[in-house]
Amino acid sequence: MRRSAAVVATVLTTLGLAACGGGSSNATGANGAPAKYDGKPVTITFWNPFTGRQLAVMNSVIADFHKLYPNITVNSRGGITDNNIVAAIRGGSPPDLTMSQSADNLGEYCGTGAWINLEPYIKRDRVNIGEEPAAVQGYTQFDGIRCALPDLADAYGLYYNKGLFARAGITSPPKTFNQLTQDAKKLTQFNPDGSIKVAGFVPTSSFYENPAAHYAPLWNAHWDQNGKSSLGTDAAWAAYMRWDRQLIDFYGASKLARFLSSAGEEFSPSNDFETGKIAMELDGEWRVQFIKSDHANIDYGTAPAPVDPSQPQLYGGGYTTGNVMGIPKGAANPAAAWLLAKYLAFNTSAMEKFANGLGNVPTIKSALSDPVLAHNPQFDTFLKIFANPHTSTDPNTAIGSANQEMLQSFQTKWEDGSVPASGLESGLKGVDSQIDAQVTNSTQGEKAP
Amino acid sequence: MSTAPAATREPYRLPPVSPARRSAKRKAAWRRRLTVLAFMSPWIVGFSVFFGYPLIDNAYLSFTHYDLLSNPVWIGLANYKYLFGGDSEVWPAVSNTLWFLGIAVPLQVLFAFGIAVMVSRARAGAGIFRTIFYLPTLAPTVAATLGFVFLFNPGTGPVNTLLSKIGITGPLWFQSPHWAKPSLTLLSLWGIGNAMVIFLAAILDVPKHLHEAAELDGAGALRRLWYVTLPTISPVILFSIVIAVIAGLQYFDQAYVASTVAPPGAAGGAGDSSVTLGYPDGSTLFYPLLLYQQGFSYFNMGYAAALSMLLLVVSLAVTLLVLRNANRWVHAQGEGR
Amino acid sequence: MATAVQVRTPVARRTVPRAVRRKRLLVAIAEHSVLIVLAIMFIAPFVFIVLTGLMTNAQSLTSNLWPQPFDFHNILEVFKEAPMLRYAWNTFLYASLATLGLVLSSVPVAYALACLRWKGRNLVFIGVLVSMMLPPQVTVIPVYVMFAHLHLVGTIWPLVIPNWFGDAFSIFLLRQFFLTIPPEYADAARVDGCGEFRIMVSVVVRLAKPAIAAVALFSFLLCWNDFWGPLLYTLDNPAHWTLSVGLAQFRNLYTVNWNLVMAGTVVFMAPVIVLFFFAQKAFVEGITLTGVKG
Repeated sequence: MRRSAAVVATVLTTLGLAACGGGSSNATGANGAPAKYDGKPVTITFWNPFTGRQLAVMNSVIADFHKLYPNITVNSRGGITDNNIVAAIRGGSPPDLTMSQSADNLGEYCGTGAWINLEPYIKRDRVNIGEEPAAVQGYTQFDGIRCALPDLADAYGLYYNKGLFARAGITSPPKTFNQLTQDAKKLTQFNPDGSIKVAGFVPTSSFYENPAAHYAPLWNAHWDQNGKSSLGTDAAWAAYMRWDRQLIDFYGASKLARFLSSAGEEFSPSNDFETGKIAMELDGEWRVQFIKSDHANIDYGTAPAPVDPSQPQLYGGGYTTGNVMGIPKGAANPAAAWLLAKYLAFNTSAMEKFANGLGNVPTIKSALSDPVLAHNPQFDTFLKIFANPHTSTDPNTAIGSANQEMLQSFQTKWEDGSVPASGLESGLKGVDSQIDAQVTNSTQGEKAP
Repeated sequence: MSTAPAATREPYRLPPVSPARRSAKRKAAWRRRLTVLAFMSPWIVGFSVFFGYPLIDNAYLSFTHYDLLSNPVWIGLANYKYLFGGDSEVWPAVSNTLWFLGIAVPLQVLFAFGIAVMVSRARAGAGIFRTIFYLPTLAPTVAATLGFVFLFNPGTGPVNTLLSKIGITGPLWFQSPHWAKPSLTLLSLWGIGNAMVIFLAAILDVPKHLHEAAELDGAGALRRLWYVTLPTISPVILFSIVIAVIAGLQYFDQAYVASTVAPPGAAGGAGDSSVTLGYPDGSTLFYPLLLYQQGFSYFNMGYAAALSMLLLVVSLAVTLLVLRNANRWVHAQGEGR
Repeated sequence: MATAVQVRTPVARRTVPRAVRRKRLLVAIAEHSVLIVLAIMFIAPFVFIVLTGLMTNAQSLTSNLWPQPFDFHNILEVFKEAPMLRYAWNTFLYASLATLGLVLSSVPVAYALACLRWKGRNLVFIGVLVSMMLPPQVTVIPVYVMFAHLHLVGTIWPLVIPNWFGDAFSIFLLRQFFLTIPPEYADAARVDGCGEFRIMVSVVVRLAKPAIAAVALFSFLLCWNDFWGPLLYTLDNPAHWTLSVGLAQFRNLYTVNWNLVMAGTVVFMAPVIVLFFFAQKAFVEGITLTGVKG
C-alpha cells in the first residue's frame, strides 16, 4: 500500500520532535552571572511537602516574603513527594522552586542537573554558606555541586512514655541498645490471648521512623567506603541487624506483624506512641509539636537515642536530615525563585517563625542561638542532638534513595526470619553488589565531561 | 443451446476497450484507493505514531542511558548485561508474573466457567445472578483494590473478624509475603464477571439438539458437560485464556495500589510510594511494576526500555501462537468477504 | 398410489417417577444454594465498603462491622478533604472525549476493513490484532518521551489524543460485527450510486447501532476506571488528577481515614454502576459480542 507523503511527514515530524533531546531553556548561563530579578510582576510556583497545619505555617512565612517583594506572587502547593518532583521535571513542566522533605534524592538531582547548580547565584549575591552548620552543608550538595539550600532540619532521638516507665519501675531512659532491649521487655504487656497489648519498643525497619538510615549514626555504621557500598564490610551493620532481630524475636515476628497491622497512622492523633500502645520510639523533633497539637494524653520525655554498647562515646548524637530546596531545570522564573529560596534559607526571622511554627530545627547558626526560638525541655534535647559532633546524615548517592530501599528489602526478609542467622553477612554483601550494580547502571554515560 | 460444434468454438475475447473507458477505469481505481486511504487514515497515523515508531524507538533507547534531562547516550549492551546478569530484581519479577500466569489465570478461567455452568442451569433468578456476578467488573481497579486491602486487614478487617468467629486465625493476607499473591488472586477472581458472561452466552448457545441427542443416549448432566458443552464452546474457552494471559502480562494497577496502601505505618515521612512497590518483600513486584519503577521512579529510561523489550519478546511469542490458531475462532463469522 | 393412513393414537403422558423428581429437586436446591452463597460472597465486599464508608474514623480501625452511629457526613467530608468534584470532572472529560474520538475514528477503519476490498487488508488486520495484544508497557517509554517534549505531561491530553486515531480493540470488535451485516444492503446502496461514506453512515452504522453503543459504553467504562494512563501522565499535577489517581493518592497526602477512603470509593464506583443499570442490555450484548462472536 502506498504511503501518502502526509503520513511520512507526520512520522518524520514526530521523530524530529522526539529526537530533539532534553536540552531545554535553562536560565543559568555557563559563563557570566545569572540574570537578576527585574522587578516586573511575576507569579512563581513553589512546591513543598507540607499539609494541614504545617502548610498553614509555610504559607504565612511566604506571605511575609510577599510583603518584601510585592511584585512576586507565590503560588504555593503542598503535599508534594519526591515522586511528584521527579515526574514534573522529566515531564517538562516543573515548578519554579521546589522543596523536598529529605535530602535522600539530592545525589540524583545534583548529579543529573535536575536541580540546577546554585553556585553562580551564591557567588553573585555573596551568600555566606558558612551560616549553615557543617552537617547541613554536607547534605545540600553532591560531588561538589551545590544544588540545594536547606530550610529547617530534623534531628532524631528517643521518645519515652514516663507513665509506662513508672509502672515498670524504670527510672531513666536507656543509653545503649542492650539497655533498650531490657527496658523494652519490661515495658511490654501482652493480652490474655497472647497478642501484644503494649509494645516496649518496635524496631521494625518499615514502621514509622525506623529505617536503617536513622540507626546508622547510632552504631557508627558507614554506607560506603572508597566509593563502594560497605554494608557487608562494615561490622557495625551486622551488629545493628542482630540487635534488631533479637528484639523482634522476643515479641515473635508474626505477633509483632499482627500488632503493627492495626497500628495508627503515623501523622494522626491515633499514632501508636501518642495513644500509649508503644512505650518508646525513635522519632524526629517534630513529634513534640504533633503531641501538643493532637492533645495526646501522655506524660513523655525525650533523650538522645541509645547507642552501640561497644561505642558508648557516641551517646548524644543521632541522625539528621532536613528539607532541601532547589530550582528545577526548566523552571520559568529562576531569578524570582532564587529570591524566595534565599529568603527562606537565610532570613533569620523567617527561619525562626518557620521553626517555631513547625517545631523543627533551624538550619542557620544565627537562628539556633537566638533566644527567640521557642524552648521547652523536650524540644531542647533535639537542639543538643543537632549540635552534637557525632550527629551525621547518610551520604547522598547518585541513585537517590534506591540504596536505602534495597537494604530495606533485605532487612524486611531478615526481620521476619526468612534469612537464617548465618546468612546475615552474605546477605548484606549481596545488597552491596546490588547497590553498586545499580549505581553503575544509573550513571553510565553520565561520566561524560 | 449452442449448435456449433465444440471444436470450432472461438475462445471468448473481451470486446476492445476504448481509451476513454480505460482512463475512466483508472480514475475509478484511483478514487477507490483514495477512499480506502481516507477511511484508514486515522489508523495509519495512530499506528505509526503511537505503535510502530515507538516500538522502533524503544529498541533504540534500550541501548542507551537516558534520563530525559539530557540526550540519550549510547552504551551498547550494558543495559542488557545488567538485565540478565546484574539486576537482582529481574528474576523475582519474572517469576512473580509467571506465578500469576500459571496459577491465577487458570483459576480465573475455571472459576468463571464453573459459575457460568451453574447459572446456566439455574431455573429461578438467572438474570439476577448474572448481574450480581458481573457487577464487580464495573468497579475501578483502584477502588476494588483499596476495598480488598481494607477488608482483608489482618487485625481489624471483616474477613479475619468473621474467620475468628468460626475459630480460624486468618493469615496476614496482603501483609504476608506468602499470602500477598493469593490475596491478589482472590481479588482477580472477584472480577471474573466478564469471562463468566461470555461463557454463559456460549453455553446457552450450544444447540439444543446436541444436548437432546446426548440425553437420548443416556448421558447425565456431567457427561453432557464434558462431551457436548466443552467441545462446542472450546473456541470461547481458548479466547478467554488468551485474554487472561494478555491481561496477566500487563498486570499493574492492583499490585501497585496494594503495595502502596497495605504497609502499616508510613516509613520515614511523606510516604514515598516507590519505597513500597512490591510490598511485602517484593512478593507483589510483577514485571510491569518493575518496569514502572525503573522507568518512572528511578528514571532509568534506557534500562526500562530494555526491560520492555524483553516483555515485547514474550508477548510477541504469545501473540504469534494465538494468531497461528486464529483461524479457528477469529474468522468464524462472515467468511468469504 | 397408496397413501398411508395417519392414525392418531393418543400417546400416554409419561409420568416422571417421584424418585427422579425428588432427585432433580434436590440437585436444583443444592445448585441454587451454592449460587446463593457465591452471590453473597460477591456482593459482600460492596456491602462492607459502603458500611465502612458510613462509619466514624475511630470505628473503621476496629473490627466492628456495623456502623454505630451511621455517619452520613462522610460523603460530604470526602468532597471537602479532597477536590473530588474536580477529579470527577477530569475523569468525565477524559472518558467522554476519548470515547467520542474512539467511535469517530474506529468506525471508518472497521468499515474499510470489513466492507471494502483492497490489497493488504488482511495484513493490516493482523497489525490491528498485534497492537491489541501487546502490553502497553512495550511502547510507553517513547510515547511518554514524545508527550514530555510536547509539554503535555501533567494534562489529560496524552490520554485523549491516541483515542482519536483509532483503538485496536474497538476496530477489532466493530470489524467483526460489520462482517455479519449481509453485503446485499451495501451493494444495493452502491448500485443506487451512493458513495462509500454515505453507505457507511446510512446503511452500516444504522444496522450496527448496538455494536457501536456497546463499544462506546466499554470505552467510557475503561477510561473512567483507567489508572495506569492517568498515573503516568497526570501524577505531577493534582489539578488534573482523575478519580482513580486521586483515590490512590488519598493515602499519601492526607492522613488516611479509612472511612473516608471507602466513602470516596463509593463515590468513584457509583456513576458506573448507575450507568450499568440503565444500559444493562447494551452491556451484556457488548460482552457477548466480544466473546462469542470474537
